[in-house]
Amino acid sequence: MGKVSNAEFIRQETITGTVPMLSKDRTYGFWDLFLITSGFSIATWCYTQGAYVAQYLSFSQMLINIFCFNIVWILVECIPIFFAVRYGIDLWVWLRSVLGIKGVAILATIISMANFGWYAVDSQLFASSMINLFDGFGIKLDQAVWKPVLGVLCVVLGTMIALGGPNVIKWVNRFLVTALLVVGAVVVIICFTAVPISSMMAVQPDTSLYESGLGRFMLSAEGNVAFAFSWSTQALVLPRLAKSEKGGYWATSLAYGVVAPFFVAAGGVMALAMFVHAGYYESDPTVMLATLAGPGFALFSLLMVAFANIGTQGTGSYVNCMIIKSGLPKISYKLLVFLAMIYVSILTVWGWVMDNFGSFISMAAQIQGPIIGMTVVDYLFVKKRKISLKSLYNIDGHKAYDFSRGFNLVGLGCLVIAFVTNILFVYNPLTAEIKSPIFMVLTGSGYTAVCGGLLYWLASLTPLRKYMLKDRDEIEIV
Amino acid sequence: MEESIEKVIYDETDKRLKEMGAPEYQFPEKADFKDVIWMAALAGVSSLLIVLCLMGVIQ
Repeated sequence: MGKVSNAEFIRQETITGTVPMLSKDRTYGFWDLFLITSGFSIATWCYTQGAYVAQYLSFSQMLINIFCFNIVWILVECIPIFFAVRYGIDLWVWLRSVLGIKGVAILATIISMANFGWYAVDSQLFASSMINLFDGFGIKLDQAVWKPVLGVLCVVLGTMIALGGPNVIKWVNRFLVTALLVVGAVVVIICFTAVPISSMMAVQPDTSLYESGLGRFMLSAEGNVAFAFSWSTQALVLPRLAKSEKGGYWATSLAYGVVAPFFVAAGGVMALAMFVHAGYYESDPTVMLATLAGPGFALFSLLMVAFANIGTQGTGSYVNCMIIKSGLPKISYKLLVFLAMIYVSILTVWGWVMDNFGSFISMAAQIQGPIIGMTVVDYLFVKKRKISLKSLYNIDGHKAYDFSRGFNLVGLGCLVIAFVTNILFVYNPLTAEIKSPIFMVLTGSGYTAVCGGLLYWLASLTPLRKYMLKDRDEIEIV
Repeated sequence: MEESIEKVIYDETDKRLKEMGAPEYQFPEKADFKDVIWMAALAGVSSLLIVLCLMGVIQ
């Protein structure tokens, strides 16, 4: 490796790798990070989620359910961003101290493999939109042939954005997100002008989901908490590039806690407007807008969907490859992005995730829940914002986070207990069965976070504390 | 090659951690008490609205 390529390699490892990013190298201010994260969070599934919630709740309960559950959980799960910005390293590097170095490698890979399922859905929605778009111009495309082809095209375009790294992502999102936020606002205005708000507020909720209003409210909340959790493992990768703690935290929290729910709420409002107008709920924004505002707006919305999906694909590929890289640092970023492209293309053509979307997001959220709980508790109450950076990177033989051959059995044990007890006693996401009154307060996903965090904190009060905190005498950089 | 990549990453990380540990190193601007107040206020109002829905006050 020559001197020049060495310097280039280090630059790449800093931006697209796990090497800590120093203050002077940070490139993202509040607006850059806010727009990029917003671009990442705006995807067509937001509308699907909103339409689902709209059926079972009153108008005011729908808005509260969508915004409030997302805001509360996002504000909590983003707390460790202060750490990510301070030291220029991401959540998964910190998690080496909670799960062990090998534990992180395994979980980061599992969770990223699951996260990539979202991008298969994303590319399939892109393909459907494009087929509708061509249909609008009188060109009929054979779905069996063109759906996989266009889906893979979306993955390839997203890969090109991801290969460009954070700077390309920054410029793509600056343009796209600003346009998409405006479009989202226009969509809501069209709904309110096409259908009087009083008519939407008068729609009676569908009671088939659960007999009591409380049950329907909390089952809808489960979807929104799972939605909030779905960002968690990806949320703390980008803030390491932020110039200040304040900018990093609020840009991320507002993007995931307000912008994404705004699009979910837009989907809910559109579904209600469609119900009033046409007598049925509809989750496809292109169909809704064609019905409510005519073919011109359908074209407009199709373009919006296409751009949003490509932008999400690119940023998502970058973020998830970074997560895997934090566990497997020897693999190059470019190779990971190419492997991700192949993997997501296979998922896109296969179509399984799209067909089992509900179960997929709930299961994924319940693996992420305990990690969220433990991360926040570890940061605030167990390690109290102090960590051995040398042990995180195994520098100079510092091995406080080796635990048991690379696995922190306490952290992994808390994760398994929270996950299993939820499925057995609180809520089974595969059958949507409520098994305990705890669900009516916390939801199933919320329970996994609270249980994981609580168990981890309780463990730190027992003799296990010594095992969990082997790093206390080597805290040097604070 | 693999070993040399590992060594480059290791050396660079070590160098950066030493730089971070130096007394003159400027960490990014910290969040302050106002941020905590905003977080608590947003979470508090959101939680209150959720509780009102759970109690049936907001139908």
